Amino acid sequence: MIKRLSALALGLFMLTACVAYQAVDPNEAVTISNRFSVTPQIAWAKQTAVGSKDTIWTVDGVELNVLRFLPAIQEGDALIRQSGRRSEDIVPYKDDMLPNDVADLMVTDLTKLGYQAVSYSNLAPASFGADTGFRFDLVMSTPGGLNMQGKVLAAQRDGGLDAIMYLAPSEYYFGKYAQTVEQIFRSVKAAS
Amino acid sequence: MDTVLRKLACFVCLGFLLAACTTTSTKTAEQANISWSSGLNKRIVLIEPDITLGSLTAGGAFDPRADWTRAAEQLIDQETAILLKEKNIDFAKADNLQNPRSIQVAKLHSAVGRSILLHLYGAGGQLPNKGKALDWSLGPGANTIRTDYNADYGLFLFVQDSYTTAGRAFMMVGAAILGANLQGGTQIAFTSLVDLKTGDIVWFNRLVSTAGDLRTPDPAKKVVRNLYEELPL
Amino acid sequence: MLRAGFAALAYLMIPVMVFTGPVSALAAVEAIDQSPGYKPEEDTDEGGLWMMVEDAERATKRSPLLVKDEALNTYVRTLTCRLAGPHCGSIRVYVLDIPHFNAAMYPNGMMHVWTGLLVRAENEAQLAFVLGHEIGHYLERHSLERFRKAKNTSNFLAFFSLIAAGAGVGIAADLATLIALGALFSYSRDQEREADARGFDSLVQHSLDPRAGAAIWSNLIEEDDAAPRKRRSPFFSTHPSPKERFETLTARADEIASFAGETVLGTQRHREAILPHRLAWLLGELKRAAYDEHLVLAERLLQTEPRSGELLFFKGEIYRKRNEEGDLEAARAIYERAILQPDVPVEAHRSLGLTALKLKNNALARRSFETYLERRPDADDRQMIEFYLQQL
Repeated sequence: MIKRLSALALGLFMLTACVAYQAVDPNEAVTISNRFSVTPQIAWAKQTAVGSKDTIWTVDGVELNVLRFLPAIQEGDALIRQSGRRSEDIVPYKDDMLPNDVADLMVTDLTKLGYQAVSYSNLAPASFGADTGFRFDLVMSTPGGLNMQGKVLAAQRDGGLDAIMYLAPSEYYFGKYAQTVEQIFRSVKAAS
Repeated sequence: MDTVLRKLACFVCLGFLLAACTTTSTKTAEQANISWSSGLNKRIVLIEPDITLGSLTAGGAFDPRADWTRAAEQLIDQETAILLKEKNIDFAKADNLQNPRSIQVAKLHSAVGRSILLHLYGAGGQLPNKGKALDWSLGPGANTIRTDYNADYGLFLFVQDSYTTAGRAFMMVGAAILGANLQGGTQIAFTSLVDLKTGDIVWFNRLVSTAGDLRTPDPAKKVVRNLYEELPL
Repeated sequence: MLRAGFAALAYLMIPVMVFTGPVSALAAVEAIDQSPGYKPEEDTDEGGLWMMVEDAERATKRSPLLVKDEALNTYVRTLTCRLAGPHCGSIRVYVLDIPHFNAAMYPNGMMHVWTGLLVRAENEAQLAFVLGHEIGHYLERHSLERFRKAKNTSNFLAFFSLIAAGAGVGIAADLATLIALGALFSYSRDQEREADARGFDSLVQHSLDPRAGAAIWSNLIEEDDAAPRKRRSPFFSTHPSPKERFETLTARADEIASFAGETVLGTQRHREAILPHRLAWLLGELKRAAYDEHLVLAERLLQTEPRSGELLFFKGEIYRKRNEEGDLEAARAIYERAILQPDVPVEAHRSLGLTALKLKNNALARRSFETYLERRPDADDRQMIEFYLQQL
């Protein structure tokens, strides 16, 4: 019970009860908020009513795998923008943040959302399309004690921060689409 | 407190949708080929079932009862064992998992169970890539449970309580077992059969019933039979 | 897997340092002392409560937040045992890696101690006061009364619904909501007064400094006062005010001052026990982004150890992350002091580098990053730091 509630209460990836999903064509490039495009690689399901500027995809359900696109984060925004988050929980992104700061901020944001024992590792420069961005790995556990892993690719470009985040339980699910996500990272292109 | 009420409202919505969208309860995976390891007795392990019995106080609060719960647990064990025996299958119980990986697998099952409930039973919206198919797995980690308990298949029995729905609906498995009077309550139980060799969920059942006066004879038998009547074994 | 209903028991985890008002005279309270080895009948409401607590205990044992370090556990358990006297055998202590001040006791003898409490207690006496207070609640079986009271309110559903400890045991997404609800269902004035009295008496009984209770409260108040209003701990707004309780405890300590005899603080023993973990816990605190409160904590800790490289690093991190006007320069100065100390973490050089980079002090950035990479050959962010160096 509480595990389910925790997932819902987190409000991170599943807001209203009446969410619908649309199919995503694996081979057609998708443009995210006019910022950048990616090629899905496989048949993801896209959440239609997100309550956020972000785009959310899943294959098996958001608690099992979630690919979240966070486009154009601006100064003053939380990294994870979601309607219903209280202002006192929002630790704002700042334009002068370095990649280390962004990774730290992601840890803080996930902590505020209720994940536990959150930490990042393997921070390194990485290509975001033609731009130079950065990437890092995440570990954490849910309030229910399920261990999770994640990876983030991000870039400060074009007047904002763009990021792509993949999160899934360590047991089976993270590995299931880890390579697919790498392919998606490699498929990033600036929006024309 | 606003946040509290807002969240409750979401849960209420969820609860009603769950109830409203019920069609068929039982789902079987398309590749549910039941197969057993050779050289061993067929065996299924019931993995840390989540059962709570109690009653509603006059004030509408839930009053958990240890004695009812313990009795229900035993009755469910017994009845499940009998039912399986009829199919020539041994029954084992995993009361308290010790292997850390098994524990993660069991926790994963909770998340998987919720996804199944959300996406196959209406409220969460069907996933276009799955449609109505029961197509979920716990992955190869399930094997640790298989080897620890010498069982090819596992049963998870999950009670999703309705604290989150409006009013006084509480869901408890087999509150009927001891003839508890659940005025205006709703019982929801769900259970899954897992192929422990692959971790695939091969069968899933959700039981929803609106309770009236549940003082019926042999209620434990009825609940278990009801839950497991369509087990593809 | 685990009983759904048990999670409701998480409400007992809510910070329970909620005190009563001034004690004029101790009213005669019916003390139903918990006898060692007690267990309720299964067919009672208390039996139902215990059932859920037993599930909470199993969840605790599996929690990723459970701290398993032997030496630390020995320290906390030994102290708890001393304070619990004949009840020692009934109490099981679990230390959880949670960056908030809290301890909680469950009716079946399980005790949770959060690392946020351990890092804030300045000595053994302060920790003993909190543990003694909790043991007081346990011995008087207050949680049963609280459970019964909670059951009969219409808010009970909301309460159950939102207490999200789950099978992993930890704090809910919405800690403030949790605490706010906890405040609704807090112990009564009398119960808190009794627990306070027990906490205080524990100190006296074991020749620990009787002023420790007032001291730990004073520190908490100071920390909370620094928080911006929206981030203040809701449990501080419950009656009676922490200030009153601080005054009560001070008054009681004054009363016995003249005949208290030699008392012990246990500063050294406490410090030895927590020092191997302190940096990790402080860095965990930083994930909360509670800068103002953390500055108060850092200053206070530095008062006793002004040349601790570790504590200076912690303080520097607060400024660097807060990054308000003047903070980067403040951070730079603090890191520069920190790196002169023998116990400074290697990461201080990295932080100094990051700070210098933003201050456009390229020479300092270079020096710092190079030192970091040299001293941390297996740095997992090596590529990133090298990238910064290339950009200089």
